[in-house]
Amino acid sequence: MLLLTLLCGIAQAQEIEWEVGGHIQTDIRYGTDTLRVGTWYAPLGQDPGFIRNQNLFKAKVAAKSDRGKAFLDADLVYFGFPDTIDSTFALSRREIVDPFRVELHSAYMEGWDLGGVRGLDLRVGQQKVQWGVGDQFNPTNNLNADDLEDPLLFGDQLGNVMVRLDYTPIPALSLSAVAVPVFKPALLPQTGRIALGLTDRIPVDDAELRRELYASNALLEDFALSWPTVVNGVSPRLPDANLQNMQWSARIAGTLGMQDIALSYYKGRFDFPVAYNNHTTAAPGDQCKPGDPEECIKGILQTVAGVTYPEMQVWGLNAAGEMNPLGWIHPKVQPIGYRLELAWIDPVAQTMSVTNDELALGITTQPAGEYNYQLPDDSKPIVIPDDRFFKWTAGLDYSFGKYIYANVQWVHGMPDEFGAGDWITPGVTQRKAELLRYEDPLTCNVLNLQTDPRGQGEQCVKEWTRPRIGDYGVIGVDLNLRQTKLRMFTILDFTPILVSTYDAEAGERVETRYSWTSDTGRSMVLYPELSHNFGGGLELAGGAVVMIGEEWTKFGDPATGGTQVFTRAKYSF
Amino acid sequence: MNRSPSVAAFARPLRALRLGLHFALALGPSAALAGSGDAVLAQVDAALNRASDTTSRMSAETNIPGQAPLKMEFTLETKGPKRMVEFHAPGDMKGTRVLVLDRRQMYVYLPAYNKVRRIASHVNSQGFMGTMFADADMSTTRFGEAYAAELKGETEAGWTLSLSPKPGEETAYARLEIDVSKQNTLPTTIRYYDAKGTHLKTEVRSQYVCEAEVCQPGHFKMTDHTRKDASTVLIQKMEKMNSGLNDERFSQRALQQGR
Repeated sequence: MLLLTLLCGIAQAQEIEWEVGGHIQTDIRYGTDTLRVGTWYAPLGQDPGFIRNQNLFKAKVAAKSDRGKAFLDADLVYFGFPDTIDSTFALSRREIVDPFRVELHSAYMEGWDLGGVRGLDLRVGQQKVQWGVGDQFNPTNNLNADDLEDPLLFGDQLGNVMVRLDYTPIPALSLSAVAVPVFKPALLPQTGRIALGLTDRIPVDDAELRRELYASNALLEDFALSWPTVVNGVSPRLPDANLQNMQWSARIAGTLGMQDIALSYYKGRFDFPVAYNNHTTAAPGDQCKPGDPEECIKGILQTVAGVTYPEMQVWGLNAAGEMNPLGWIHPKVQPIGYRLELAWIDPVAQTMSVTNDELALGITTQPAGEYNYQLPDDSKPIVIPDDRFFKWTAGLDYSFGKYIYANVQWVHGMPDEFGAGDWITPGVTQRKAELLRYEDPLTCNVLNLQTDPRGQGEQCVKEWTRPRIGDYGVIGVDLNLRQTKLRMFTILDFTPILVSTYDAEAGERVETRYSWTSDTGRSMVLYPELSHNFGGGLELAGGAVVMIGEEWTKFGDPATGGTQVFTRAKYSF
Repeated sequence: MNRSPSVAAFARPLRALRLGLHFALALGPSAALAGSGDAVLAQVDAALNRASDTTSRMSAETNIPGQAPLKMEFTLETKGPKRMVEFHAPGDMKGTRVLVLDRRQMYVYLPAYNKVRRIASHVNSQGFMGTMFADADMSTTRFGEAYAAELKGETEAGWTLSLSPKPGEETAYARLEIDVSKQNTLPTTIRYYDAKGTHLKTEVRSQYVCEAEVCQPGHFKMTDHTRKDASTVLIQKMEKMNSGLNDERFSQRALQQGR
């Protein structure tokens, strides 16, 4: 309302130009996969069915003069699914039966040539600052939080209140500075909750400790005590809204020899959650699996995962332009577009603690306190080391005649990947773990636990890991047949899967590396879309997002939401 | 992923930018030009590039047999080789802006992304929003740079030139025929041929409006004979000419801000 009041005020001034636009869009999507994680006492997942039934109304309003602009960009979204209806009273509440939300992407005011200084611009308010030359994968673009709520809008970000100052002394050179007073975390997909059921993914960097923690949990669940661990909540810890935690960034951008070059610096935080604490309490209660009285538990160890957002600094380099390395073949071979976005990231190390209330487990009682990690200097387990690391996007694009456009990118690091660990620097993240099954499992677990807790994990646990920072090939091809367009968008995960297990005969752990071409390591996204533009702003589209891979891979992970088929109708005005 | 930049969507508008280069034209009869084809062509080139800057409102309608007409509107600003285009319709193109600083330095502002993106010159091989105009039809600001002209015929109303590529020049067409009006030394009809002599397309420019010493065609029609005579009509409404557009108007800053 404040902005509308402002806009109306501006409108009363002389020479105000109004622009109004937007669109109405209906999205219907169907999830085709059965996604199941967890066990009978803590099931999580998703059955095949309609997963989106959404109507969206977008409005964009701009009021411009020769001195500046006010701009509003907002969505009204009706979900199309009722909220939880748990009473007759709820049935009479429209906001429950037909819920909606408002998304405010932009609501800012912008002044140009401030104070009579030519080229000096100030923008204040809710906005998105979209830097980086990569297509949708922008490791140097960190001011806005990622918005992964809708997987089809990959690369989208959340608006945030910012103050942006730009100075353009000459058209080919600009200096920018942005301050973001309050940090916003990334918006995660709804299926992200499924990850809570993946209790085998322990984020600890130290491999021995990681396996030990897993083996301890498995022992409590499987063999002796029947007290399984369940992650039943996440407690995010957001930074205080003070000057110390304010994000800011600066950039210098210009054109040099027909190439666009930009250098940037960012100080702020990684916007995806990283564990800093696991706290466990005991919830006693005998229960058996429905229909199977032999499979029972005595209670549940409820764990709340504390997550936070690590600080980081990012130095960025962007370059874009075109080159013609194949022009010698034939004069009609045209230049290829290129883009390079490189981020050098300096994270603040993130550690975590594993704590518990007193756990009365029947035959034994674990006193309240913190786990004995047995790490040097009584240090806590590292989740993200403070080693610096790179992320980048390097891409080429080319048009093959009138009808075909191709775009290829090498993406080193997806937006949710963080911390050193790739083919340059060692460091992995765990994707799955399970107990090795010996003829006498107690020998492996209980006896080792008594004599050598570390050895328990080393000899009894098989785990799947992958480097923290993955490598991906992103290939997009558009076939344009006038008003009809066929797009095939593919992401290939080239990151290897590392499977580590214990070789009893050799008496040591062995690791096998599975490449992206193997069944174990294969992971990809196929995204075909067929759209038809009827003209006048009306477009109909349909397609699918096919997620391929085993559960431990990037795209086979159930938390990604699995395969979905979609339709979209959109009218723009 | 749905928001992946469709190069087809933003590349095609580039061709429209080149239209502005054809608009400026000198007034006055040129009967004294009778002579070589190259001399006539030189006068045509001079007339085409007379205005220092222009601002036009364009509307386009493409008719393809068996399909509904496609319409769009945009504003075109030009200054020398620099161009800025802003689309107003249809709704799915609204707010999209394209900046051409040079044939090999082009940018697009995509409102759905709030982002300026560099685009490479290969996109020029794509069409202009489904119209019958191709980049080559519009990007030639001076025919004489790439073509040699032969005077093929002359009437009281004008000349007919036959243009062939100069040695070493790569052109999109093997031959052009241009009808030039003696009244204003401007093209009225351009016929495009391939190497086999096939008549590919015909462009008709008409309804010239003159102001000061510069004339602008108000109506363009391009007919593609290889596509069942599908055609595109461009209506130009000149808003400003020689208005002193400064270079800052043709910058990434202006592209982002939509000034």
